[in-house]
Order: sequence, then C-alpha cells, then structure tokens
Amino acid sequence: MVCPAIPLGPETMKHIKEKMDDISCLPGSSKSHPKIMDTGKGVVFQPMGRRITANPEKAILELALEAGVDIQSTCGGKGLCGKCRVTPAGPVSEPSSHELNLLKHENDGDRLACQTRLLQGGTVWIPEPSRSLKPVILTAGQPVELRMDPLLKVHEIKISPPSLADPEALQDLLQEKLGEEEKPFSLSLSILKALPKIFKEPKGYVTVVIRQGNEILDISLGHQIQSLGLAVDLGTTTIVAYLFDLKTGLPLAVEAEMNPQVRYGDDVISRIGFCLETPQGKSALSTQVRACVDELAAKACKTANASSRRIMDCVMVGNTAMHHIFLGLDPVFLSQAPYMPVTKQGIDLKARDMGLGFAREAWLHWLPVKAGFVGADTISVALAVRADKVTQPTLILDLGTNGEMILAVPGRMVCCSTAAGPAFEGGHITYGMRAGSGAIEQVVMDPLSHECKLIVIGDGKPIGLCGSGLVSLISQLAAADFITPGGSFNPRMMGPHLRSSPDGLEYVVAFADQCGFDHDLVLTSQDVSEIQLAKGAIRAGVEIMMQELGITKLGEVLLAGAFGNYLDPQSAQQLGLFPLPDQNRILGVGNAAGTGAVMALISSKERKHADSLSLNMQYLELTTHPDFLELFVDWMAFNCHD
Amino acid sequence: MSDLQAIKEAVMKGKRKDITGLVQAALDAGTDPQVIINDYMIEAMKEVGSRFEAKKIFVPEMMMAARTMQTGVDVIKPLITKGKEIEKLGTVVIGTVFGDLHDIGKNLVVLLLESSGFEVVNIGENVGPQQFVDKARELKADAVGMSSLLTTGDPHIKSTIDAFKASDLDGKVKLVCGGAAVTKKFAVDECGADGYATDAVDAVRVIKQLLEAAA
Repeated sequence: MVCPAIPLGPETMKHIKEKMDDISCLPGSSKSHPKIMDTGKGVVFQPMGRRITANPEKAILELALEAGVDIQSTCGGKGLCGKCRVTPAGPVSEPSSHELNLLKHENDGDRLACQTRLLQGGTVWIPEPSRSLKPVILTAGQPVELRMDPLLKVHEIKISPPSLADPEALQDLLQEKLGEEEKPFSLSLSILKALPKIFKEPKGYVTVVIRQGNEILDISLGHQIQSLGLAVDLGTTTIVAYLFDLKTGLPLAVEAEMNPQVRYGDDVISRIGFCLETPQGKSALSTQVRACVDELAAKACKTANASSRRIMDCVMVGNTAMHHIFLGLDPVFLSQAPYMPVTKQGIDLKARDMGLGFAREAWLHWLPVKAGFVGADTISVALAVRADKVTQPTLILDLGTNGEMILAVPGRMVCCSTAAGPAFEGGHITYGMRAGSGAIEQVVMDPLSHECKLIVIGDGKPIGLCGSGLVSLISQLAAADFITPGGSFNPRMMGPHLRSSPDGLEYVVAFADQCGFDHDLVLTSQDVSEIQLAKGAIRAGVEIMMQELGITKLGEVLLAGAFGNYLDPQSAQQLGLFPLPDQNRILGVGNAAGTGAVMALISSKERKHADSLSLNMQYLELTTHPDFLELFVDWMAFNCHD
Repeated sequence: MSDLQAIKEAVMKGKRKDITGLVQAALDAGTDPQVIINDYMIEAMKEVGSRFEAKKIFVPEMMMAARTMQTGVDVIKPLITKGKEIEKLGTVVIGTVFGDLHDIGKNLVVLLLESSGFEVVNIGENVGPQQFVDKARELKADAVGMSSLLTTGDPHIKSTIDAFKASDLDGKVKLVCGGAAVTKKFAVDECGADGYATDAVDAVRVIKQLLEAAA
C-alpha cells in the first residue's frame, strides 16, 4: 500500500488554527490552590479563571461585569431572556418565579446569573452558549512531516457468496479475497453477524478495516467509505479532539471543549481529592469526561459530515491524573509519596468499554505515562518536538499547573515536574487570567518616564494579566527598581502607580478609565510573591536537570502551550525562568501534546516510538533532591543573574 | 563592630552568598559565636518576622533570609560547645504527614522556631502517625507540628491527631497544624488539634502561646 507523506504542515495547521479560533475556551489549567472551593470569600468564573471577591448582595451577573467577564444577557438582567444560564457551585439564593418559569423543570443545577446570588462565594461555570467572551487562541502544534502508517489498513474488495463451485464458509471466502497480504484474522461475533448481510448484497463491493493485520474492525457494504481516527488531548482544563481520515491522512475537523471536571476543582490534586473523598466521586468524574470526549467526537464528525460510528481508532494523551480518572483507575497512589501511577505502559482497550459511541470494534490507545506528575501529555510533547533527536542541549517547558519539563541532549533525556503552581496561567494572581481576549500580553515600559504601554489580546480594554503579561511587567518593574531584588515593592518609588494598600504596596497597571471595568487593575505584593515562587521552582528544576546532564549552556528553549507564543524571550530571561540559550533561540511550539497524539494516530511507528521515548527518558524527583531548596530560594530573587 | 551589623543586614536582605565570608571574618576577629547568632542573626530574623507581619515583605524574602541565616549558622555550629547553650523555650517535634514529601514550608517553620529559642527536632517528611507519637515520646516534646501541602493529606492529619489522642501522650503534647492544604476549621474544629498556624511567623506565635498557657 502506498503511504503518502502526511504534511502536518502549514496548511493543515492553518486549518486547525482556524478551527481553534472558533473555540470560546482557553488553553491550559487554572488555579491549583486547594482551598479555592471552600474559602467562602471568592467567586471564580470558569472557564476564564477570573476571580473576584464574593458579595452575597449582588447577582452573579453583576459580579461578572465587575470582574470583566462577559455573560450573554439580552434582557438587561431582568430574568426574562434566559440567556445568562450558569452553573454555580456553592450555596445560592432561592430561585425567583421568573427564573423557575424560564428554567422549566430542568433540574441540572443551572441558574440564571441575573437572578442568583452566591451566598458565600464559590465557582461559577459559564457554559459555552452563555459565554460572549471572544475566542481564544489555542494554537496548533509545530508543523511535522511524517509518513502515513496507521495501525489500520482499509481494503476495498469485491466478494461473491458461496457457490457449488466455491463451497467455503463466509469467513474463508473473505480471507481468500483479502489474499496473502493479510494473515488469518480473528473475527468478533459482531463481525460474524454482519457477514451474511454483506454476502447477500448483489453488487458485492465491501470495505474492510483491519487492525495490525489480524483483526477485522469493520466490514461495510460499498466502497469509498471513510475510516476515521481521533486524537484527543485531555487537558486538566481543555479537551481538544482532532479528527482524521485514516485512509488519506487528511485532517477533517478539530473541536475543543472545557473539561467538565473543572467544576470539581481547577487542578489535578483537588480532582484526585474529590475522587478519594466523595462516594462515587471517581465514577462521576470518569463518566463526565468520557461523555465529553464522546460529544467532542460527535461534534467533530458532524463538522466533517461523517458518522462517529466510522471512528476506528483513537489515541489519547493527558497528564497522569486525567489518564487515571478517564480510565477509572483509582488515583490514590498519585496523591501520596512517592506519587506512583498504577501503570506507566501505554494502554490499548476497546473504545466501547469507555462508553464511546465509535465503531463497535474501535480501539483506544493511551500513550505511556512517565511518573505521577509527568504524564502521557509530556511524552506526547517529547514525540512532537523529537526530543530524542536534538543536536544541541534543548529545554522543553510546558508550564501548566505543574511545570513539566524535559532537558534533552544528544543521546540522553531527563524530565521532571515542579509544583510551580498556575501563576503563569494567571492563577493565584489578583488580576490574573488565561491568555484570552482582554488579557494584557505584554507591557512596554519607557525607561525614563516609566509610563507603560499595554498590549492587550483582542485590542480591547484590559481586564487582566496573562502569564506573558505578568512576566513582561514584573521583569521591567524589577529592572526599573520598582521591585527590589528580594521581591518587595520599593517604597522609594512611591508615586501615582505605586501606592499603599491594606495588603502592602501595590502597583497600578491600568487605572479604571483605561480598564474593562470600573476600578483599577493592580499588581499586588502577593502577586509578585506568587511569580517568585513559581519561577524559583521552575528555574531550580532547570538547574538540576542541567547538573544531571553536566551541561552549563542551553542551545535552544522550546515552550509548549499558549504561554510560549505570547512570551517575550527577553523578559523571560530577565526574570530568570531559564538561562539564555545560544543566540536567544526560544521558540513557541504551540499545542505540542496534541501534535504528538496526532502523530501516534497516523503512524504506528510513532506510536511505538512513544513507548521507547518514555523508557529512555530519565525522571528526576525534585521534592527529595538535596539541592532543590537552595536553588529554589536563590532563584526567587530578581538579581540572581546568569 | 560594623562587620557584625553587616551580618544582620545580610540575613535581613537574604544575601546568602555574602554570609559565609562575613561570619568567618567576625569569627576570625574573635567574636563569640553565640553572640553572632543571638545578637545579630536571631535579631535579624525577628526583624524579618515583624516586617512580614506588617506586609512589608512576603514569603520569598522571608525564605531568603531564613536560608541565609541557616548558611551562617552552619559555619558557626561546629564552634559552639554544648555547655554554652541558652535555656530553651521548649521542645518541638515537627514533620510533614504521611503521603506528603513537601518540606519547604515546614523547614521555614523549623528555622523560625529555632531562632526564637525552641529546641526543634525535624523528623522529616512522609511521617506516619505512629512515628509522630513515638518521636514525641522519645524526645519528650512539648509540642508537635504537622504540615501538609496536598489537600489529599487531610485524612493523614486526622489520623495523626487520632493517634496522639489514643496514646499516653493525650493532653500532654500540644498539637499544631499548618500547611497550604490545612484550614483552621478542619484542624482545630474537626480534628481537635490544639492550634493552627497560617504561616511560619504565626506558627512561632501559636506555639509560644500554647506552651505559655500550659505552663
């Protein structure tokens, strides 16, 4: 069979990117603070991750406006249009009569944002139809050239029923037609049941899908029937599904949705906690996330004008906690030292066992995981960036809730994860948010006047700071002496922007008249601390990996995720996230985890290669590393230059 | 004496790289090691603690100061003879509960307690309930501190407290909890701990109060 080269190149990526631009959700994960759900003081709007102080006097819609979060509402908050449907988690006010009318008898926990008050704070999930937030860029991966070589082969053959001249069982007739090329294969009962119907058809053209040359997955009448494959990047916050035609290797559709588990906690630890502490918690989370993958597949198929019953193969990647919860594995050992997964090996199982409505015999494959906090998504990133084929020391950073990182040199790879927290995704930061419309992505400070020019995603008024904006702002504040080497605001720089507050000094990034809400957008002392803790942890991890590999200089830095695409390399280096690589070679590689999953879907060679990548990668445990604390504390400072 | 002021300054500003040289110079000049610790380093940490409480500095700077002091103390420690040690406020046994390997916050508490005059025995991480009880008995602890960073550590805080309640030490040792995952409501109201501390400075205050009240 001729295998054309599959260009996961610019065209495909453009297509994927256009798809992603339609998605009203954001990449990455949000706060990892275990106490957010029960502090009773704050309200977190999801999926944006914007936080605001709770106020039991105000309707959720009003709070959302104050936080700069857009919720659809055409009646002006009178409880008439029913467009502002949200899912609050936490004690809420009793529904009004208007509301009961509009919600009818649906008892799914949804309420109208304009009619409902959160009595103590909590989380508000804004479902997709109620969001009027502008789309966000969840970038496509790097272009990768790979040869099409899926696990499945599609044969189109002509068959005729048994006759006196050819008195053979249907299975043997089929085997005969498929010829020498395919070994004798096993047939499941469902396929056997389909055979008589197929052989009865007078035209006799059938399409047979064979997996690894020994199992018939599907047999259907006719030819030119599509066989589909699905690659899924199961993120803590976002789930992305890529639909491919396994015969042509062409991408058909990309869809993404928020991980429905977000309402049970933003980070993996709180999800694991929910599984362990709530009766049926694990099965609830498993069921929801599987249903979400099923819906995404259906959505993608609809876009591609295809049927999800034609999905024959599916590859999944995600962090180890998402892996366990999806599969229904008890995550208890992930939550306690030494944080070991149930299994590290890649997993093959029937998609139907996960409740997925694909082809009856369809398979699902999980890429291997490396450790409790280095998951299949990291292996997938390594696959996508060809970490085992680097020619120079290459640092690969994926800054989510857990900063996962890989350092590769020719012939060797090490990886680790740091509990860096979600600060670089805007989590734990007073005005932090994910990279999306309204987020300040970059700050340009005039070295003399100290006036700041804010560059805002979507060009509207700013409502918060995303990771790259924080890095840019803080590195320049430190360079301009607004922040001392230790990380506190410098009282000698008091002025219109730097002022006192009950929680220490704070820096006004944008005054109310420039903002998308009616108060000032500030960076607090506590925010600076959060960034220091995160960057100290990341840099310590980088240093320990460099020590382990005996290198003193980086050749290249690859940043996965949205953070990498907006990040200004100079600020990242000024802040001290990593040592400056040769000739400033810092590249954003987009959603590399998704790219790796697609590669494993389309190429059986790549899928196998993921296993050897995982085996050849060495995991470093940072929590017990003797130098971690020292490096962590040293690199929290702003003057610890290379 | 300006060198000694420089030691205090270095601890307060967290200049870990300078401290070894400064301390060595002071020792070479014949300064009493105990004086360096008590009159300058501990004084510096007290100042750091009050600046922290006044929200002038935050956790990172407190950690930098603590590490700097630790580095300085490491230079001096071999020179201090046992007999010279000042009277301790009490003995505190401290560890991270079962299932959790995180030590950074806990180690900061250790350092602040030590610099406030407590005898502190750090029994490490991933410490099971029985280990906590055995160590507390063996060392005749006045207070036990337990830390948990992960929310999933909650049941282990509870089982540790339960182990103390079920032992001969019940009521004799003050049990204090802290760490990112722990709340006062959980530790004190639900598990029956004697105290809860929000941060390292608070831990010193809480333990002091509990031991004074018991004396």
